[in-house]
Amino acid sequence: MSEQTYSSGEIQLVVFKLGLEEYGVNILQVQEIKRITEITRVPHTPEYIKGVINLRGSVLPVIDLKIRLNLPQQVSTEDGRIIIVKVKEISVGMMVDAVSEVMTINEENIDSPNVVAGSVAANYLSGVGKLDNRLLILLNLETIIGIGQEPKPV
Amino acid sequence: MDLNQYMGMFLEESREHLQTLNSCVLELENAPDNLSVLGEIFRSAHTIKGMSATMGFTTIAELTHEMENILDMLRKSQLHANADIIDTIFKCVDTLEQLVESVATNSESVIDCKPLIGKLKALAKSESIQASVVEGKTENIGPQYSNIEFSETEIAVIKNAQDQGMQAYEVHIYLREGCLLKSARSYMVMNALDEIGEVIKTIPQVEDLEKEKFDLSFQAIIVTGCDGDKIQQTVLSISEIERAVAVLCVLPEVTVVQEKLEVIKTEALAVVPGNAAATVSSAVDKKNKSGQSVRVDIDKLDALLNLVGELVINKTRLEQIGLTHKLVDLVETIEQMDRVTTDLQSVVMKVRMVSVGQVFNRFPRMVRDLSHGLGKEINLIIQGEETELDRTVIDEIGDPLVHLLRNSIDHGIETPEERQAQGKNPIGEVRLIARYEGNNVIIMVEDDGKGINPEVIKGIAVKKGLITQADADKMDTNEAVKMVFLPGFSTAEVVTDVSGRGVGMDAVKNKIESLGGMVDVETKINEGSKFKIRLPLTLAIIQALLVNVSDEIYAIPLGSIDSTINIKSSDLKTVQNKEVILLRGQIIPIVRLANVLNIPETTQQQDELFIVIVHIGNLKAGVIVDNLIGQQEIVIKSLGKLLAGIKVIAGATILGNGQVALILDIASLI
Repeated sequence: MSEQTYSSGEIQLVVFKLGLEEYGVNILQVQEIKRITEITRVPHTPEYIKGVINLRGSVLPVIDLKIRLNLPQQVSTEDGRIIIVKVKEISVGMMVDAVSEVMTINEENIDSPNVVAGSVAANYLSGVGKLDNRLLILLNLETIIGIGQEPKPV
Repeated sequence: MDLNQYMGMFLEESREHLQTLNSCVLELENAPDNLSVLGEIFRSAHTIKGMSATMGFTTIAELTHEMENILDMLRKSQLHANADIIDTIFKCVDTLEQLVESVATNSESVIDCKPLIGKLKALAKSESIQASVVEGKTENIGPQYSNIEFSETEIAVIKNAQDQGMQAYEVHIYLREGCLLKSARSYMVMNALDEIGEVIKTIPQVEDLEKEKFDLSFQAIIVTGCDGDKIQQTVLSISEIERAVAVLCVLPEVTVVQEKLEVIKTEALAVVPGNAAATVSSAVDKKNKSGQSVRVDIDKLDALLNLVGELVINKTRLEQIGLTHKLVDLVETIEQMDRVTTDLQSVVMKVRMVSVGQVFNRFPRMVRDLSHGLGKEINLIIQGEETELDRTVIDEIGDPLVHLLRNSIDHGIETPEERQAQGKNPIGEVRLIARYEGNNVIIMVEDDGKGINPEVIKGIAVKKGLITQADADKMDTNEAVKMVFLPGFSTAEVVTDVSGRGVGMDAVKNKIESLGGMVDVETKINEGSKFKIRLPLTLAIIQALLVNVSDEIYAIPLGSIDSTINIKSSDLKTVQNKEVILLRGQIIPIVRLANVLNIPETTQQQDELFIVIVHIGNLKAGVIVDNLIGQQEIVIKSLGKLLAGIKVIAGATILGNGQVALILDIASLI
């Protein structure tokens, strides 16, 4: 799905920060953005699964994106948010450092993720968007959530 | 007309009637002369015929029509229900099932019913000659005494009723002129009469009444303990009835066929006495049930249950607000609300409850076919069909039970010769029993067959590499027998198509466990085996004990908690480097929850330990927790697809303060 949307003219992205880098996800996959609430740790899950939260009565897993993408950890700030995305009928929260804006980008300005090939996280990216002086890293949510590579119980 | 909207109803009702047919024909096989069973079979077949004809499924209608002819002849005693006829009827029911399913899957029906229809026609023809003979006889006796002709069986029933102090009445019913729904009125009359006695004959016949093939009056012969006045009152209580006359029915004095009648009478005595009374009451029961129920889409019930769950969560949240802010008024109001929500919850739960009879119903037929196929004689005893379980559990429990029953019949029960050689009753007994036990439902499949030989099990397990010889030698009988639940285990030396593919027991165990239940086996060589399934009544809302481990909160289902105790850390002993405690003379292994849940060890050593004693079946363990918070009703939420299958966690729940707490899976802790 991600490939198709990126290749059809203009797309809208929710832009957020992880450390100093800027990332984007397709707005159509975003359900809502929430302040960071109390997260319940779930034992015997991969490290990047931060735990579960209560979203109006249903229980939702939350992924720590920085651990998932192998980025250095920082102390979380007031700006921290949880972006709730829905991929293939699975809803998941993603912890990010800050959500900055929603912007439109032309697909011509998106390069394939191969430019960063070799990095451990390349598998989790679907492209790199160029916008004036900024670089937006576009995420492949399916691999990030781990569909098809379910966390094995330890 | 768009019939699609009626499709669901048609399928559901057809399946229901086919189920009735199956069980009734089975009953008929055991008691070929039972008229009320025949009546029920006839009604079910008739309904299917009517529905399928309306929906335009001509094949189904055609087949049921031929079947009805045979049934009608059986009912009029023009035909005797022998093995050939019963088998043919069973075949019809099977074919009808296939036809209905092919309608359900929308596949073109390729089932050829012609041979079956031919067979039915042949049966009807061969017997009609006999039938005319019988009719001839009755005519000889009939006319001068009554204008109604009775068949021999009817006479026998009347005679028999008279012996029991009941009387047969001829009831003439006259409908008011301009009565609109004549068939409905006649049906109501029949219903009313059925409640005070047994209607054995109507003129014209019931199906003609249903089709309104009569003028303004009809007659019914009823066997009852009431007097004529009572009958008249009963009938007149129905609106649009002009007049009802009940006349005592005088049976013709039989001289010519006296001898023959005597024989029939004694036969009838053997069959009818219990039946006459029993069938009347059962007929009344059935009517009560069907009259007051509503079909509801299960999705709607699920939505309702979810909403009630939400309500419970919010109530708990309010409760906490009231407590923290010490608002007496609020707390009192919430107590009231608590009562209402508790009631609401139990009502919703009950709505979702379905009796296990729904599943059990199809087993008599299966057991019959299986035992015939294997040349074994088996008596299936079903008890506790009225036991109720949550709908979701009912839907899933069928397959495991089929496996267990098949195993009992194939591996458990011996052939009649083997049984006789051992001095057992050549007819094997398989029992299917359901009952409540606390918050659980127990379903047992018991047989009196050869039992499971632990040595044989060990041998096979070693041969298949599931365990080593050394392990086998150490094992006791109980452990050995439990190995039948291991994946890839099959005890049958010859793989039959009935069972013995080695997937059965493993699948049974998995299925039961996925329903939050357990399965256990007890066996004695040459005495039989007993498989015991324990299932929770409901899956959605449970009572749980909340505990603290470090600063995390976990919920332990109350159903698996024995007790909580408070001990000194010096009371902990070790056996082979494993921690245990001695409780009332029992050695109980200790599980440190902090270790199991990978919680960083707290540095402070507690001198006093809180231990929750939990159990699964006969296994017990003591779980060390940091603190007990209290007992609470929790709504079980799934962790979702992404986190499914984590071993020690059974699910999650939302606490009063909105925080998520995890529910421990006790089975994986022990």
